Amino acid sequence: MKFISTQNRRTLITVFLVLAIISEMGAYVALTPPPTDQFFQFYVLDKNMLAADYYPQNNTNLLLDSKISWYLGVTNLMGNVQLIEIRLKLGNETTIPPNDTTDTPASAPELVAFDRALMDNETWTLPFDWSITNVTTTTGSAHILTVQINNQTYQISDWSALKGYNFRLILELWVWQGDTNTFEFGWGNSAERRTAWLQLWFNMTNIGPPP
Amino acid sequence: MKIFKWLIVTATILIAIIMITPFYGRAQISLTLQPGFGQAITAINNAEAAGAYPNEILPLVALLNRALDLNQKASTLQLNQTGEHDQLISSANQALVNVTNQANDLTTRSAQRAHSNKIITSASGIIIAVLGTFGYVVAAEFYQRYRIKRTFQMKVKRK
Repeated sequence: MKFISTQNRRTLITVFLVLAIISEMGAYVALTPPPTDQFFQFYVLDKNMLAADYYPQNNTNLLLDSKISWYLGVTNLMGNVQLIEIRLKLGNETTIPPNDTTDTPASAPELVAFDRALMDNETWTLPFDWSITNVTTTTGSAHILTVQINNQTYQISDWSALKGYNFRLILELWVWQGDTNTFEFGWGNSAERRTAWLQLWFNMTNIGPPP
Repeated sequence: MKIFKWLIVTATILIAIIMITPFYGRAQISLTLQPGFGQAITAINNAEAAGAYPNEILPLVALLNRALDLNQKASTLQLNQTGEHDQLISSANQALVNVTNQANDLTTRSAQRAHSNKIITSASGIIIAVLGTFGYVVAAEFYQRYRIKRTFQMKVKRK
């Protein structure tokens, strides 16, 4: 042990502290995941899983009972498990769409909601088959009375459009908020909030069965 | 020997600082609406925050989704199907209770494991520092001996 006494104690303590700090910094970096941008992806695809032919023959003027097959997709990139809800709303030309600035949802009535808990980095692909099964026309307006979604028939009280033009389906992504214990439109905190929604327009001017 | 005492004291202080650092925080939430789903997702998030691995979380999420499916199915039943409705809701609630209990257990285990991992990792850093310092001392000693040997190296030659 003689050689230790010949060394400068301060130098040794400095060496130890520098090595300890470097090692602990390495340990901290190894144990702490890097911060990532937190968001959801929300999309709708056609029956071929493409963002192309959403309607039969690419014609947005739908016929009665013509089945339309889409896929709704949500990817959770929030960094933890999230409970989400896709809300389907029925709109027309006068419907106020969701507002990304004020984070308010669409004013249209909600028809159905789909809930799912998603792991981090998990994508949920939901088959979404729908068709208009009953329509009536009164005073120049087309009224959609029943819609079939994923083999479930839904009665609708008031969904109309002038001459059958500019119906739309609005899909909103709602996320469960642990602090309020409710689903809220969008995600994030009061300082930075984001929303995700989609809308697809169609017409119903030729009321009749598919050829 | 005094230098080793200093090293031990410094290492002990560093380990103590690391051990008293909080590891994760739990959000305080009010469970007034849909307490079953709220409790389940909160419990899962707590387990994640405590350091549970994705393969441990996956079965809980699958069970939660089963509860959601049962709930969805119950909501689509007709009014005259109350018996089936109640049965589905009961199954969903049971699934939620299972999710919450399992997630709470997982939180405890994950927190302990994360705590142990953190101590081991931090202690490894201290050990590396001690070994590095010892290596420095040995290297310095050898270098000094080498310098002395070189300085006083003499060759005696008979003339």
